[in-house]
Amino acid sequence: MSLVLDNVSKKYGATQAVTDFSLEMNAAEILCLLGPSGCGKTTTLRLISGLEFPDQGRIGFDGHDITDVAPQKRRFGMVFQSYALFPHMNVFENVAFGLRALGVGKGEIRERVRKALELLQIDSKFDRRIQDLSGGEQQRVAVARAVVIEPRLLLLDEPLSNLDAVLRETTRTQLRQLIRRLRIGAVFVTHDQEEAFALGDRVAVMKSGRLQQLGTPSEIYERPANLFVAQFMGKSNVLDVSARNGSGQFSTGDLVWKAGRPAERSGSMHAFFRPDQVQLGGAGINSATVEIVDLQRTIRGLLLVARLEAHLIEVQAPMSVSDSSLSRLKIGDQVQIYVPPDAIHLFPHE
Amino acid sequence: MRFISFRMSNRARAVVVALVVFIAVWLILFPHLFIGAESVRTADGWGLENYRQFFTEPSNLEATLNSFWISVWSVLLAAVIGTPLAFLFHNLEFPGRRIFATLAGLPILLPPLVGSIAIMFLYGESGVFSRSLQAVLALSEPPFRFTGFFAILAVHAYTLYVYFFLFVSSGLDRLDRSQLEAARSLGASQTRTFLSITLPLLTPALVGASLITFLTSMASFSAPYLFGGGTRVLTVQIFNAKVNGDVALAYTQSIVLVSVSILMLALLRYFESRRLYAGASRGTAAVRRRIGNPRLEKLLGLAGIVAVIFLLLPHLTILLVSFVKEGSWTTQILPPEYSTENYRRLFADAQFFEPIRNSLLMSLAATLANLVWGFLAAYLLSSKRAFLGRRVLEGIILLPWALPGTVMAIALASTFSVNAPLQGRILLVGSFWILPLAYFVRNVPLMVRAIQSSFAQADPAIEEAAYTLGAGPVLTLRSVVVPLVMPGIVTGSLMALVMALGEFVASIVLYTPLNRPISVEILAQLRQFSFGTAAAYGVVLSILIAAVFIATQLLSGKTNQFRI
Repeated sequence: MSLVLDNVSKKYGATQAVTDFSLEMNAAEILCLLGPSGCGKTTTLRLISGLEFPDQGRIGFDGHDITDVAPQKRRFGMVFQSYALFPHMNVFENVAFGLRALGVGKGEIRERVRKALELLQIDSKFDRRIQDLSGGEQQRVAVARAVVIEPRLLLLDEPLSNLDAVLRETTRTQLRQLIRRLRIGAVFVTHDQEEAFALGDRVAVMKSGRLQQLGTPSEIYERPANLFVAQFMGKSNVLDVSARNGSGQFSTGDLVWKAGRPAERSGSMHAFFRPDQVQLGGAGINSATVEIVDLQRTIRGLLLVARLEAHLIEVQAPMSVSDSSLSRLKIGDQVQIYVPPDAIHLFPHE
Repeated sequence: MRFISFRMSNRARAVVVALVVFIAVWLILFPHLFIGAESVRTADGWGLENYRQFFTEPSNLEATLNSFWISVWSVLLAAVIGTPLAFLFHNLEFPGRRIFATLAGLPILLPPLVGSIAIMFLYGESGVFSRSLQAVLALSEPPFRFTGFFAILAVHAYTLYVYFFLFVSSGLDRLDRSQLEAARSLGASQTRTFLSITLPLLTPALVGASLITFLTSMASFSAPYLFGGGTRVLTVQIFNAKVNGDVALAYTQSIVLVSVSILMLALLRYFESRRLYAGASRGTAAVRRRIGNPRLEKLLGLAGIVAVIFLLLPHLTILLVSFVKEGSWTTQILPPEYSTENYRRLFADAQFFEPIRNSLLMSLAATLANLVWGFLAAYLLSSKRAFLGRRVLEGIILLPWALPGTVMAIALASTFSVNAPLQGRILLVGSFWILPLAYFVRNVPLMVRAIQSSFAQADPAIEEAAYTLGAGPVLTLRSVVVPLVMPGIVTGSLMALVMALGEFVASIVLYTPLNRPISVEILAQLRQFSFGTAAAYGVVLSILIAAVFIATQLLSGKTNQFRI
């Protein structure tokens, strides 16, 4: 166990940024803080870094209480969203800064900076001015600067958000490999589910300053704790339904459906399932005839908007070019759909 | 913009806050409150006796009204000269545009006193222009006496147009051309586009220029002092009252002058706040038009150049006069004999060099104090963290900008005239240090603003990054924060130095034989009709200022590269 947050709260003026946040990190784990903007994820990271202090609660690391320890004493490397590189220093000086602050000798500084730059594959740019680097190179310098001090924990605040889409994916992979190689824990803040799922051993989903769910990516995707988490993880269909006590049965108007797990209570509920879990065809329980209202052919397949009784639902069907029955579909057609019970989650109204 | 401070450094920070606020309250706020209090002191306690006397004495009312109307007319005249000039240089492309545009903005750097004596050498009774006119018209006497209400107004128009020129120019630079094009594409005529788009968008620039012109004009001392003749204005009245030893009157006049200035400030602020204008978009760069008609283009360009030469003519005159052999210029239109004797004497004769040495020393001392205090104040104000006295500090920093120099000088002169530390008063009057103190107080807004704007441009995460890398407050300050705001530090220091070098208004109230600065020496030389020497001092001052200014440009060009 490395990092522990125990009932941490932080207020900015009248705004409650983080409320009763508790968390335990495993050693050398990558933890992603995920949530929409303003959910308190960056504040949580700043509390961990020591750049902010909590109003309530304690923060511990390796069995020590570090709640009141100044950031310069924590030795948590941090990569900022803006990179926050020192504009008046070149690449080498930027990376060397932390070692200089630690009082490392000159020869060792040169050696360790060289290694860090090699690790990030920017050793050829060591004497460049920061302004002359591309966005991707600046990002690497920021990471090199944070890891060269051999941090006890690495904190990353949306470090990929300023990169273009292609670079973002390759950098993501490299970042993950780097953190694995260094065998350190990392807290990674992002608003991008895909990024969180690709990077995180575990993901903490936040909303309005509160932790919604903490778990592995597959736990969160397959068993979302509430409607917010479910909807935040990607495209979703949400139907207003009435659930029957005890069983997983519920009804939408005339049709009766079955969910994988029983509802917590009976009455008015939300039934949730993802567009890509809907199958075309099928008969019997959990299937229905729907009318196509709109259809788009995308590179990911066929996206249908269909009318199911009073609801509009989205259906994402993977489409291979040869699949002629799908390619003949047009607006106004009636099609049969099937939703597997395990794909359906029942949530109470918030 | 948020700069951080930490729990652990609370105590150190509290000490800095206390020190910064204490100096602001003691050296800037307290003296002004002191004269405010003194103005309501009567022989037997407190009361409005001084104000009753002030308002029953016609000469005081006359001075107040003169100050006010001169300021109103100065704003109008400066606007009429400066605004079209800005449009001309902004919208048209013609040979020499850049050089003359730079020249047109130059007078903002020159001290008002130098501008005033330059105008004297040109339009004064024995000035070059007056003598030429006299010769042409074959008159036995100079065609006009350059004194009184209109002379003051002329000097103001001559020196204050530059605010409108610079404000409107930068306003035009920020204009989004696509907004103008949008208006034209919607069918608006050129006139309509100007009236309904350009003008409203320029409102902040025009209001800002009006405000600063009005305040500068209310506070103007050199022009009325040299050219006022029988026309009374408040600043000179205050000075005279002080010189005559009627301090109660000087305090009361000061408070009236300040009240009018602040009233105007509030009025313009209110007017500005009611206007809605959003300069949200960045806009596309201005494209200068070549007018279709080449003759018209040449004509307009020529008009602009002629106007600039006309505006700079006094400064050329002072250069000419500085080479005049002392005593040789009697009744001729142009001086008959020239030499470099005036300059040689300034540097060779210790007695002549002393004012230059004094000015340099005092300005450097004041600027150093400005730098240290200004950096700390700007740092604290740029931090998001609240501290006791934040609002007070922000207000006090603006004070010297809003208050006339004469009033500030009177306030310092009366507060620091006795040694009574328990009342917060120490004896500085008569010592070397009273003038550096005055320069410090005057330049507080300038320095803090300059450094604050550098802080505003910097990414606060940069300072945080230093902490997360293990650097303590001292290392962070030294190797990260200070280099980060270096552009503001350099610009602020050099500008403060320039202002202090040319300072006249407070200097004439506070100087002693020990620390006579250049500006006061210029006046003394004028009094002895040593025009050449006075002009040479003026030119040396201008060259010093130009050198500092060029250094700023070079350095800020270099430091600008620090920005990402």
